[in-house]
Amino acid sequence: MSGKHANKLTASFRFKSRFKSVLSFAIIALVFLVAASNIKLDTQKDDYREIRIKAIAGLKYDIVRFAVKPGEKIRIIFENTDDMAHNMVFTRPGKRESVVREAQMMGGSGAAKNYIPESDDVLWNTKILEIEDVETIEFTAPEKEDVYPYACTYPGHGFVMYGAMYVTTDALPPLETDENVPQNQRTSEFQQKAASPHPYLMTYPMLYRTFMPECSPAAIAVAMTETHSYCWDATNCMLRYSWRGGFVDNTAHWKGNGNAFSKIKGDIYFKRSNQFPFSVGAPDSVLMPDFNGYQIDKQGFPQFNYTLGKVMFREKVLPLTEDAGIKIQYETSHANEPLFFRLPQDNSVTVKIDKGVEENGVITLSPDEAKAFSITITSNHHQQHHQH
Amino acid sequence: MNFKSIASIIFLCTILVSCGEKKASDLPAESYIVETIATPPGLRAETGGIAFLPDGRLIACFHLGEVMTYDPKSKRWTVFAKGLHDPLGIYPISNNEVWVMQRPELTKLVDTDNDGEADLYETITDDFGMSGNYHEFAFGPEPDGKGDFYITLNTASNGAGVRDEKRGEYNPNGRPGRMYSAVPYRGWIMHLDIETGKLEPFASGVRSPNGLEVDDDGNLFVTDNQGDWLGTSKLFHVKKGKFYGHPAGLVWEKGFEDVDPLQLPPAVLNKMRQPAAVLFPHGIMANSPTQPLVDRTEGKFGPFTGQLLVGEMDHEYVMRVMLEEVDGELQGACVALVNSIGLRKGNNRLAFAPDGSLWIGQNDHGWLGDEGIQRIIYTGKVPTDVLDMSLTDKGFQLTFTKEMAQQAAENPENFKFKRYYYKYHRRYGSPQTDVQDVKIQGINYDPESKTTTVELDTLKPGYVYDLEINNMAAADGDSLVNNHLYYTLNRLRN
Repeated sequence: MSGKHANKLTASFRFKSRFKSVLSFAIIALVFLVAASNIKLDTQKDDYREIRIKAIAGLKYDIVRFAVKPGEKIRIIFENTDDMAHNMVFTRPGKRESVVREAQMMGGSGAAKNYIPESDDVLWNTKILEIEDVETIEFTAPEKEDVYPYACTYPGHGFVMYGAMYVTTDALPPLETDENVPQNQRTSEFQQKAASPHPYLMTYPMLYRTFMPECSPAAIAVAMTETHSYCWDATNCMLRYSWRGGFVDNTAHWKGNGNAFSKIKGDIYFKRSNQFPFSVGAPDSVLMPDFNGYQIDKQGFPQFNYTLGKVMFREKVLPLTEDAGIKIQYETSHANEPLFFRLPQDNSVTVKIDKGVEENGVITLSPDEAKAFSITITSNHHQQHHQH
Repeated sequence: MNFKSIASIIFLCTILVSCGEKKASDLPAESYIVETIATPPGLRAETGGIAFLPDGRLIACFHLGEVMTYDPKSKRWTVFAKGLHDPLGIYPISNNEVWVMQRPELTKLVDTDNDGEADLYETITDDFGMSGNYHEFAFGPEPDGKGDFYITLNTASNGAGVRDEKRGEYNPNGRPGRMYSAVPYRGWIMHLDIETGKLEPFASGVRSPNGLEVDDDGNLFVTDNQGDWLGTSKLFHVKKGKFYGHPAGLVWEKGFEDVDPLQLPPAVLNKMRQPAAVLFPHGIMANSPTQPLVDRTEGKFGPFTGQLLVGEMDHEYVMRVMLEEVDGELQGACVALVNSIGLRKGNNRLAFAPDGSLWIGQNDHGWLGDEGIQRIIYTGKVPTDVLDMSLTDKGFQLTFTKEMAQQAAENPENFKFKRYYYKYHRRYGSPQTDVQDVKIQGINYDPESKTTTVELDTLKPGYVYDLEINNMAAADGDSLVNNHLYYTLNRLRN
């Protein structure tokens, strides 16, 4: 919590930092321009040049390189917008990796020292900042033209979380091949790319058990593809709604106490109430299902298992081609009586079932038909928000 | 790298560091050292559970739903499962199967195809309510020693309401209050019968039971957090059918269905409730105790085998609890195990590695704490500490881990006793109440048993006896490591 005081002291910077996301490109452009043209564009009250850098999700700095002139007075305003603790440590040229390694070796005593190794190779540093903390450091750029790396020395971070301060009056080399910048940030769009919040890449299908709107608190959000998802209710054992355009943003849900819902990215095209659609024996039987979990298949799709009385259900939801809708594949066992399925009342979709007899919106399936059947739900609206 | 080689490196380092001031001895300077385990980039290491698999790998679950294994030999992290909802407890069955307590259910995770990652997520039990309130955490599972398991269910917080859609019956009588229980069985300790699969209510009256442990005699211990109805944080010795003081969950008690528990007079509740085996004085000992764990290392972790270690969120230590049976009930004292050795805050989950080092999973979860994993290693140097604090007819016996300097160990000036209690009321927390110094009537030290016996002016049940020891050193010159102990005196010796 060492950054908390710094946070208070520099609270006024927070207001400015709101504009940061808008300004970040401009700033990069500015510093490059300044470096290239040798014109001082910043109009500060004092003669410090202000550079704002954020720690962002995925072990990154939002600005991975900038240029200053030899001997220039620099003010770094470092803000941690990530959920993990970070610092910012400038080292002598070529010393980033060794400093990061030294910090790693500090072990248990490191935290108290903000993971700053006692080394001549450390030039300037912030403390370890917690989420939303801001710290300002000021220094005078070296007279010697060179590339001065900066990195987060929190254990494990600095091997991927770094950048470079160019002390130079020359133009910078092309970003695409700049070895002083992490490889995955050598494009100008890196800031817009959604990083994985996990220690692995996001691959689809994937799922989160989480709090979803318009569902029971035992909800499962499933992305079948990067752009096509659904919400499955583990209390009522049924698909509640599906949407296109993306998956969920859990940033708010994972923050702090976890009260917030996951945020749906995209547009819901099919929705139904929490009334379980199946009954056994008689269409008006009120037996409630019991959730038993799920199995992930080789492709990564979950197959949900639940029981209704003695009948065991297995349910898998698959995307239709071009995200036109979904196909729900059912398998049941131990169904000795007819099974009844209430069709969803939603005019925005077309529902088809491959077995059974329909009467007044209720499909009757014989025990034999109930062994394996599928329901296709196709959106009646063309998709609006397909991502590329 | 095994424990011995790490210990010897540390030993060498310690000598190198200390040789400037001191003559190098045969033993390292510290009894315990802390090592930080590097967690993989991209992992938000809010640790919800840690345990060791039969093959010696660590398995841990994290707030963003990951279950990962860590091989201490290769230092490699591997994903075992994903997508869980706030998993806060983990229990390994085999190298391919672990049970995880997540917010909505207890889940069996099985790698059925031996590719290293779980593919079967089977619900063991979800037979409890969810109002959708964020504070409805679930903890466990803890084996009861007879093949079945305990879990605990947190109350909801009035920091947020309930959702439109809930799981389980909604009882509006359980809704008022700061921490509430509007769905079953919030604020309860539950018992899971493995054969029938039934989850049955076991005991009631807990608020935030973020830690449960069964000792080798089958005693269940559960921690609870200072707040409304809890003047200070506690360790309960939980018995079937008993009530432990937080009234919200009483709406799920037979015969109480139509009662608003907050309308029950505190004096009545006070008579119903069971006292805690140990109180952790708020702020000075603990703000937020977590998982208790019996030291079963047979000396690999130091001289405290058989005692309970308890994690703590707000301090840079874990605690140690010394229990004894007095008049048929367990009660005892708490003390810090280690301090100022580089341990972070947020010490949420504890597990002993096969080598006897204590691994600690840290968490902050929107409150005070830290994130990550560290481990505490015993160097082999016996700490100068109070091994045991025991009630006598007229005072206390303090048995030390080492022979103490005779003069210091029987100088009454060095032992400062006071006593106080914490109020039982609806309000949040309680000040130390009726604080009084307690005079020492007599003291003596027996070097053979390493025991100081103190006779006190008065012994009054219902009080915490707070002991501060000063100027204390062992016969070998080592000074006392932890000098503040707190004994919860519920019952007197007959």
